[in-house]
Amino acid sequence: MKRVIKGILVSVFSLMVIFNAYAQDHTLLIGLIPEQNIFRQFQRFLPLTEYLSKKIDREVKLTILSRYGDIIDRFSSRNMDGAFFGVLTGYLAIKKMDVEPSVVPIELDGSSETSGYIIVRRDSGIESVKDMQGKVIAFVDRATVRGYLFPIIYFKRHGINDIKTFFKEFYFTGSNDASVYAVVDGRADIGCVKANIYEAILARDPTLRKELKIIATSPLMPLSVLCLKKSLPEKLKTKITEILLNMKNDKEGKEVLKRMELKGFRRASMNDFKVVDDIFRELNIDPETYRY
Amino acid sequence: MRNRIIKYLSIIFIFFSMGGIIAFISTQRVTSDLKVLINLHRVETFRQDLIINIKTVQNNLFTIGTTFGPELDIIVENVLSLDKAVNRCLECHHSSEVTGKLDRLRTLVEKYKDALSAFITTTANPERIHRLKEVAAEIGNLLLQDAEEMTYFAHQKLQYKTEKAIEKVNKIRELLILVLFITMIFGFFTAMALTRDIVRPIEKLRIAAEKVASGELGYSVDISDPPEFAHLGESFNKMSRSLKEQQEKTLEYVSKLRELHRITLSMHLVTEKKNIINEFVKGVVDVIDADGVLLFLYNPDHDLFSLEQFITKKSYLKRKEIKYSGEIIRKIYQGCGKKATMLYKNEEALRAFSEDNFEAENLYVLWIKHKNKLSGFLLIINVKGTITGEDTRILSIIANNFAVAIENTLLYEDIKLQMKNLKETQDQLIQAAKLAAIGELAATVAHELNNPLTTILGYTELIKEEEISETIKKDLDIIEAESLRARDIVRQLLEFSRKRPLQLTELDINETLQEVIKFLSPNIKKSSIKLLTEFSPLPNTLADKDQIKQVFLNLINNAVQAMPEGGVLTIKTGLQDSNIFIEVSDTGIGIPEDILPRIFEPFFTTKKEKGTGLGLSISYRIIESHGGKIYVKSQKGKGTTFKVLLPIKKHV
Repeated sequence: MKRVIKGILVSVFSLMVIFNAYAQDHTLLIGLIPEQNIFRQFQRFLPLTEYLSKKIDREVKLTILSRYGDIIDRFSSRNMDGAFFGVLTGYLAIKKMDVEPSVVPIELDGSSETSGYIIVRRDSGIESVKDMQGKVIAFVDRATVRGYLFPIIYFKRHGINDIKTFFKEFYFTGSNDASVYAVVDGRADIGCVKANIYEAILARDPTLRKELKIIATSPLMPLSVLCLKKSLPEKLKTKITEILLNMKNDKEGKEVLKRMELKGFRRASMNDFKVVDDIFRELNIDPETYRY
Repeated sequence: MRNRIIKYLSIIFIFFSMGGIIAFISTQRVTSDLKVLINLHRVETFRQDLIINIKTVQNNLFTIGTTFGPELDIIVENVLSLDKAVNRCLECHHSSEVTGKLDRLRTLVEKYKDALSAFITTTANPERIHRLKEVAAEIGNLLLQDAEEMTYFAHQKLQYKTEKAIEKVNKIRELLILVLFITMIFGFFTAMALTRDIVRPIEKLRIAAEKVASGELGYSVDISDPPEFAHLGESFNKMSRSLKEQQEKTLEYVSKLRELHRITLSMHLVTEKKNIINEFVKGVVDVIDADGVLLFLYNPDHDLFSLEQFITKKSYLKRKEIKYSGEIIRKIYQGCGKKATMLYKNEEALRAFSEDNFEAENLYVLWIKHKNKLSGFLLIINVKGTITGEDTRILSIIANNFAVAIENTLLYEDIKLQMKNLKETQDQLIQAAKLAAIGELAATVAHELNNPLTTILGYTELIKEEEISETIKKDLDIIEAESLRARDIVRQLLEFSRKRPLQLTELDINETLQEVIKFLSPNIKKSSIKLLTEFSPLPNTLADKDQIKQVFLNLINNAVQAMPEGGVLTIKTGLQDSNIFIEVSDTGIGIPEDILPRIFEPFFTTKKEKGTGLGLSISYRIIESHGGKIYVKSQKGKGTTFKVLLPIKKHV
């Protein structure tokens, strides 16, 4: 009798484990980097998850990270199936983890790439790098090209090799809009920011255009890249990619894109990360050992 | 009435509609108020959610970076809930003041989000991080303060609106009660008025219906209002009048039927043809109003229709003996082919009837048929008004009954005659049997008495030849006389009983009678009797002269003896049908009625010693043996008449 009861209990437990695993399999977790205000970023991508859930008949959830760099460390620990990486984090993720690029978002103006800006307040009196000495600079994150590596190269090109001594203080706001507002609010004299986020903030509050000015602009590079875990079923990955590529042709998809203020997606490739190679080379940094 | 009902109902409908509209509007308002209240309560819930969300996020803020700090996704979720709570507040319609506050709240939330995001994502020295945290916390506190303040004001407003809504509900309830009360009152009076308007004419109609039901046909009601009942009243009056007219027609018809019954009954009750004719003509006059009624009956012997009876108001008839040829009448009848026909002045048929007999504007001819044969017709001159089909039917029935009654009369007469003959035959049979029996007895008795009487007479004559005294001689004379009388009676008896064969010769009855009268004239003269004779010329007939003379002798003798004080003796002869009749009448004492049937019996006499009572019996037997009949009529104190009928017989 006891054996029978034990057998039943073991069977029930096994079924529960299998069911749980099945349920987990059925939830697709997509990570987001704090490209802008994390709440805004999260809200921006929510419609996309709903759309994808419906299309692939599988629950799709979002998770946002407080830092760009965290996404590489936490991709595995949070068991993410994919993430919208920045150019640098995407580059590093591909290098360090089994992910592959899927799609790149396209802005409303049709571009899928954007630059990085170094901005100051107009009334700050900063006109060139020289004027920046002794000021407070706000970077976005060490794991960004436009928010950190580009300004470092820019300053290097202008003869500044040690930012710790050149600037009074430097810190990382974690997101592009936080950098803009840090400059606007006077919490920083110089800000590093992704051009599309900067333009979006100015579009929301045009008065800022009179308050801020751009000191430097980086080359164009992809806005962000959706990378999917290689271990996902090929069929699913293809399906997700195809759905995102064809969203612009779908009425519901169009609506979602409109809410995300995007025109659509294009297929991503390793070429999109070439710029990162160039930067690392110029800075003479080994990507494998780069501490972000 | 319909208009009135519609009017009343419309007013009630308007009242109810007003009530309904008020109720509807009120319900809408109350519902709207309730919706507002519900929304306010929901908003209240939202605000509470907002406050909870703010507090949660504030808590998150202070625990970020600690062991107890939540995952970033949870913080994001909480902030998004806060964001949603604010947006939900903004979705509601608010006053400009509240909207302003909500806008400020929204701005604060956005700032809070930015500050939070900055605090969460920033990597800097601890002082900067602390500052960022303080900024965020400060905004969070402001947010909380504003939300609580708004909640307080909203609560005040909610309470105010709730009170207002209750007040409004109470007002609406009062208004509705008032409208319903007014509607009820109006409805009650309307119902009363309508009931009165309906019941009054109905009551009138009920009374009228009862009157009509109790026989007061033609009773009418006077209802002028409402129009529907006025129409109903008119219909009722029409019905009542119609019933009355129908009843009058029925009564008239019944009267005619009664009249018909009376006429037909009277025709069938009387047995005399003349009376039937009178009843018929009178009956027709009663049924039809006309100037005159003429009845013609068919005489088949002469093929003529003769005027039998007439009744006229004036002297329409120019003569009283009118006859129409059967051929003409049949021609007219065939031309009509109906039970009756109406002829007018310009019609040839009318002229054929009127000729120079009478003048008529119109002439109604009613044909009388019996057993499909035209037996007569009735002419009704100058009919007043019109003769309906019903009149024609009644007249036809009367005519048919008349024809049947006439036929019945003839049958009755025939039966009566046959009964009479039968009775006579029966009497004669009885008489004959009686006479035969008496004759046989008489013959026996006569035979037995004749020998002793002859002996008595012989010895009486022998004694008389003897020497006897005068006294004895006288006595013997009496014996001889009585014996002779007795022998005479015996001889008559023998004569009566003997059936002698008739010695038939051609006899002139008048001459035979003259002979008998001549033989008896001395006795007639002696009795102071006046003799009257009325002899009609008669044909000779075969008869036994002696026996016939004996009959005449007996009858005249009896008549003479019936008039001892004198009188008138009338003797008549003549022809009746195919017989010769001889009538001998006296003005004597007459024969009592009770003995009249016995006078022909043998030995029945009223003359005591003077007669044997065989004379009439012998006469009866002689006439019977000739195939004739003898009758007697007598009235006490006035006289007696004997009538002899002899058939006229010739040699074959």
